[in-house]
Amino acid sequence: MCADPSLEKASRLVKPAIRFELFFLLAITVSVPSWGVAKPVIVVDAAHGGSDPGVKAGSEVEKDWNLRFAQALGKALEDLGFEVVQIRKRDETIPLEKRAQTADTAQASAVLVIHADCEWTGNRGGPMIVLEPPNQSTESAEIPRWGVITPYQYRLSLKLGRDIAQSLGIGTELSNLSDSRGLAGEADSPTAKIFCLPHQSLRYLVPPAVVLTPLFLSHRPDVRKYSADAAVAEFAAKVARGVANYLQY
Amino acid sequence: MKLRYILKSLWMPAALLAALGAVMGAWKLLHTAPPLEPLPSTAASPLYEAGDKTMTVYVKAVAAEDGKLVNQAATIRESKDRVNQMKQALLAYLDGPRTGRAQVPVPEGTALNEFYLTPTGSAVADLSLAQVERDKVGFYQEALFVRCLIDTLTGNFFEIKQVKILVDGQDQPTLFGHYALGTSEAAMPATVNGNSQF
Repeated sequence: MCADPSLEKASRLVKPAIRFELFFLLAITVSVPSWGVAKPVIVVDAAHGGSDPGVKAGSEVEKDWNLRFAQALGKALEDLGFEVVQIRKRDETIPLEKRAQTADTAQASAVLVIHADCEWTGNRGGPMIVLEPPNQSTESAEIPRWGVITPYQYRLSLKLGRDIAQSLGIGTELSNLSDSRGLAGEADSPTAKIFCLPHQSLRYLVPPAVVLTPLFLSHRPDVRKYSADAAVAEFAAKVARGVANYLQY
Repeated sequence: MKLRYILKSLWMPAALLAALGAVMGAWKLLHTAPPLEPLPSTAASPLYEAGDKTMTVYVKAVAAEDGKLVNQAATIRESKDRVNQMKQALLAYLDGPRTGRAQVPVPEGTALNEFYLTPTGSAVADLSLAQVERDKVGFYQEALFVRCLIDTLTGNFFEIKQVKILVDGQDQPTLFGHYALGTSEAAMPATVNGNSQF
């Protein structure tokens, strides 16, 4: 029993404040996890564009196919909850250095560069995955020009490439065309679809990165298959699933 | 009667001589160097003399059936200068078959400006790509082209430890925009064991 009227008055004032504080704390407890855990960022780069059409096979132009696949892939990744940074959103010319700068400053968990391909026999089809071999340069003066892929970065990219390959169902071996540096005993399959070879689009990238070649424009069955949007979406969904497996997301 | 006897007795030796001549003729035909195609205009100096014997080199090509790398025999002249043999082998690769079961992955229009070998065993191939339709050459062909060029040189000539590719005398980051060429000879010492450019 409180005899002091001033204390009773104070208690009447304090009680709602305590209730409000409790409510505030509860609200924070519920909402903080969603503030604290950011979505992983995936950079998608549709290669070429604008004045640089890439390769051509008849009426098929690489830059258009790259953009089409990049847009489908962006959607598939967003559907899985990733934050997607598209480097090229329309038909425009973007220099390689600017692409790399965007990818490197996005704090991306992975970079996927889309490159349709073309070759002279017309027999080879996609998909194909390319990752950059580790750089063993001892000439430090050359580093800023060419970029450096450390063995650790290479291993991460290899894991990314293999998870995507597994999701696409194309096997995870390295092609024997691969660069042998740092790969003793690994690159031994003549029919494998993963290539460890130096690619201009990968040279300057810091995050784990691969070049994805969904199709060869010179391979008629590829072009026929991916003329349907559903096939492109299906390919994109599989790649996105592979990225999610890589990040265990 | 006597003449008939002489003719009869000479018939056998004459036939034997004729057979021997035929065998020798066939042997000579088989072992005479086949006429070689005139060298392309890229060969600035004569690469061999008329009397030089022939030799076989193996040009790296791609099997049209399954895309695997295969060796394709090519005939060059055994020049006195070893570098001229290398240059001939490189020209045999650049001018190799574009159709058939084994094809070289060389883009049409590729030509050799110059070739030389440094004392440390670095082969330098200076190419001209001005006549190549670049939008027909993708990453895969570009990678095959570089790989087969290196394999052709290092596979035939043990002296070649490294290969460097220049374009019109210049060090370029890429040939056709996709495959990234190496930095410098010292930076990539793995050519012989593997397939890197250097």
